Amino acid sequence: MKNSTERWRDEIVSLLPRLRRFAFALTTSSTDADDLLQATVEKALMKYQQFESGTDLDKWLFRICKNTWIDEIRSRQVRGPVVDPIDYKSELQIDGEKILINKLQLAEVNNAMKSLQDEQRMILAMVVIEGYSYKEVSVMLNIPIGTVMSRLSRARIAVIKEINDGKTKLFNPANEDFRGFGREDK
Amino acid sequence: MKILEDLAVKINDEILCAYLDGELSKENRAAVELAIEKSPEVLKRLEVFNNIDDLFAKTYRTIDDKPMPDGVLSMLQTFSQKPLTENQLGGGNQHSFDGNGSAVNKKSFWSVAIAASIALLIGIGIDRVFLISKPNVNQTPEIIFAQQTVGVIEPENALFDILEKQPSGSSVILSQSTSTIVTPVMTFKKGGSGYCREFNITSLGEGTKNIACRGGNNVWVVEVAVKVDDPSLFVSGLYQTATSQNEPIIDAAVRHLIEGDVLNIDAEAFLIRKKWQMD
Repeated sequence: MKNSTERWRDEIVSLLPRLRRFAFALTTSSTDADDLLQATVEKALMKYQQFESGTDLDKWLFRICKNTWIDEIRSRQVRGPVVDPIDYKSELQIDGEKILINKLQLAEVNNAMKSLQDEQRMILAMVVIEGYSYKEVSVMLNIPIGTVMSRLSRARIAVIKEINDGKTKLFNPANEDFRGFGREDK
Repeated sequence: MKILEDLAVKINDEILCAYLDGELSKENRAAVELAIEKSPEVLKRLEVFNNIDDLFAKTYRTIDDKPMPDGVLSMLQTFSQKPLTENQLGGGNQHSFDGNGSAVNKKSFWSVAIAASIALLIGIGIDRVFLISKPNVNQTPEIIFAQQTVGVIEPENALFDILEKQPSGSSVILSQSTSTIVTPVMTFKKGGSGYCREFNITSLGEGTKNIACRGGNNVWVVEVAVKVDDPSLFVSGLYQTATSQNEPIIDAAVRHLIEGDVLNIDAEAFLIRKKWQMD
């Protein structure tokens, strides 16, 4: 019979893949994602005594991850960016018939993600990759639901524009100008 | 209906995104669906948003194929045995996220476990170790591939390309039908000259642990190939343990061949970029 500490630990283990995907989307680098994951888990373990029963562990962990990443961004703004010119190549996979799974496409998605503002990137990762509701994101980021909604839509448009400006032309007709729809872009 | 039509006219990107995310009220959903019916432009726009969502999910799930960092797993294992306080766990020596990959132990979890527990064969002059059966001519190419024996890897062999280009920790699926997967595990400098890579192969429930070294003549040579009893242990990346009786041989071979430490991921990436021409 596992004790409560072990059960809590096991729950964290089950959340690791989700947490790492989120970290990957935030950092856009698998190496940085592993580092961010480690820093997040370490902080979580240190805060074990502060964890209140009834709290959603996943949201608690995502919040720690998000705050750790924000601290890192601030630090990088002082130190300067980490240059990792070939990093995106490490994210790529080859399929069964040894055909590349459109390496260029994956790299450009990642580059488009990098072009977003940090909060847009967080919202996009939480909703699109992790499936959180607007309400859950608004609580985790402490912003109104309307702000989540507008930032998410702007993030998606910014990403589409960025990709269309790149080489891949994911959305035919190629190089279509993806302007805001139904209202002017702000 | 008139109200719906009025709403449909007011549709913008925020509403379309909210529709896609399942965040709209029943009334607003109906308005969007009416707009989709009436306007190909709205439908097209929705498809573009949907496509970008799919691409994002696909892109950021690729990290699921990499093993979990050793540091994270060992931290959690230690914690379950004895929950630590802030002072005990972190103190002044807390892991800082520096974004350079320096804090994560790149050596595979199972090889760390082996190194800690086994000291067999150390110092023995291993030349070439061969512990798996020769391929049967009636076997499929995938099985033969999974049973890559010691010796030179021809450039036309898919394994050559993987050892040349694939970073450690990232798996390559060579055949979906037979679940043939190759995973480079780590890279190290070989005593004397050249570099070696440890890699795992699984296919149809069988598995091998292998070491190949790249010499000055630009060829990869498999130095050690050891069949593993339960290849599932090195597929998931989680809770990998050293249980196979053959693993000490790989461990001993690494100790015999290695000069210095296992390369970190940045050094390995640099070597791959330089096509292994560093000596």
